[in-house]
Amino acid sequence: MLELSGVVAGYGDQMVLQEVSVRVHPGEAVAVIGPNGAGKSTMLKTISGMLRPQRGTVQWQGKGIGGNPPHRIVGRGISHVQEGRALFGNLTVQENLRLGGHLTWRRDRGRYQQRLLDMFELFPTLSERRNQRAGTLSGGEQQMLAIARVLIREPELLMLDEPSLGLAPIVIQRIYEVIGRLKASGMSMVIVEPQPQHVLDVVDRVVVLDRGRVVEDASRADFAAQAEDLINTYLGGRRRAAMASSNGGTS
Amino acid sequence: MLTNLHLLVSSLVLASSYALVGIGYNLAYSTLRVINFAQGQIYMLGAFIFATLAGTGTPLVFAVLAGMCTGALLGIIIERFVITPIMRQGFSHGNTQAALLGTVAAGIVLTEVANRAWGSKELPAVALFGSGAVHIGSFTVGIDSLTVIGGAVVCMVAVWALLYRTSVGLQMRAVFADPQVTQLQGINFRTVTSISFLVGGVITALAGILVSPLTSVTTSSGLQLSIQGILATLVGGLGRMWGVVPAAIAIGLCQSFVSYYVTNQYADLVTYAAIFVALVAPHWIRAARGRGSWLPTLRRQPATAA
Repeated sequence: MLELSGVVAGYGDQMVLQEVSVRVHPGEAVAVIGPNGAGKSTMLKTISGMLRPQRGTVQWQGKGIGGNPPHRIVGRGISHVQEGRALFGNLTVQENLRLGGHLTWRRDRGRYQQRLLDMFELFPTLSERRNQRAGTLSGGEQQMLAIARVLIREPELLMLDEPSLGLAPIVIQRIYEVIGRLKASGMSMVIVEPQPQHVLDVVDRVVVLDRGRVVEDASRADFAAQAEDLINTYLGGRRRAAMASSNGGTS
Repeated sequence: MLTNLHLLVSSLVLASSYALVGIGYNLAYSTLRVINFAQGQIYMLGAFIFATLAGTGTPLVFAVLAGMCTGALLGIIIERFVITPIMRQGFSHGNTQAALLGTVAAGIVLTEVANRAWGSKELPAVALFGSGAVHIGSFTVGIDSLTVIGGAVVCMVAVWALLYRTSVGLQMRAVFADPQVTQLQGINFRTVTSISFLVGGVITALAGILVSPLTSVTTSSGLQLSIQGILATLVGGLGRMWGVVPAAIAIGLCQSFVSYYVTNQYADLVTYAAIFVALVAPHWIRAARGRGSWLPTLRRQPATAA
């Protein structure tokens, strides 16, 4: 189980996360939604070791991992697909997968080969483009490669930062089909999205972040029951309307 | 014709040392984004350790290995104790400058250590494969020159093979592209960085070992080669591993041919002036275009005429 307790983290003197506490149980998929600047990506970076928490604890399977270097956290079974995919554009598809699966390759080369074939089966287009440079792939193919690059090492917790960012609706649908299959296989997941529409079908729970704080932590059903209200309050609807009326009033 | 061939060989000898030191610079720069200005001192100390041991009757193979180990060790020490402690606080401009100055200081310390150990005397020349010559018709080339050029080619092929044919090389290329994303793949960035500095140190020390029988190496040679190596690296493109090779050849050709055909006295001046123009001219042109001076007008004329 992943457990964040009272985590305060940020960049330099500016703390983005303010006393964030979140739990992800084994096999559970949690969506983290919120407006821009709410601290969603910062939360993932803190879990994956890219940021050191200033206060609070990050525990994974009962052991503290807060402040551990990223490569050690990956070795413990947590994988992070960054926003914007963050591929090695000058390296080929196969080289990107080889880097992602480097821990598996080091432990058991036969297993690595099997996982490589699994990834090509999951995303056949990657098999066709295995010798192509990652930077020349389409946005959808890049997202598939980014996901395959972490899946190849069989993570226990998969964290996806805005997997639908900049993709065509049909590609988003394909990506979420794969995410749904991973969820069905029992993989724990944290999925960050600015809006809940794509992610609601595949998660068990929804956490809403606003200005670095958890303002809602509800099951999917509870979230769905009050979705309109929450979206209006935290994801732009009512706030935009309030800002528009306030601007209108002052001008 | 014969003269030109001899000049070509001496150019390639110079180019070999610049290219190897430049590759050492790039291996270090590509990981931590800091120019290691102590690279020239690693070259000098590699050569001194090799020549000193060879002078005491140590078998040449062991003397070469000792020189290379010195380079490896110095590379790692500079990475671990000078650059990494500063860059660990973040890849900011200020930290990069501080780390760069740290390497300059490390270079000064190494020069002083060498001064205390060997004084200001010139290094005795120890040829790796004897001092014979190869005759092709009326053209004669020294075995020591061929050793330098051949050794440099072998080193470059070895670095290429390391980068493109091994698992650690793939990890190094990933770190060169994006250190943070590399860490998120479960790769230990610090280990890969140390390997890069180690290989850079070995290559640079080997350059010193190969070239020392041909050029006079003193304890102050490190600084001189640091400058020439960094210029070749800048002309070839900092961080572009193989860009340094044509740049080093161009600099070597310039130095050799100017010193023979123009004047030995001004060979360095002409070479550095050419490098300066090569580095600065593109910026002048860009700036002039930005101000709308005669340069863009000249460029536009053919299009208008057409």
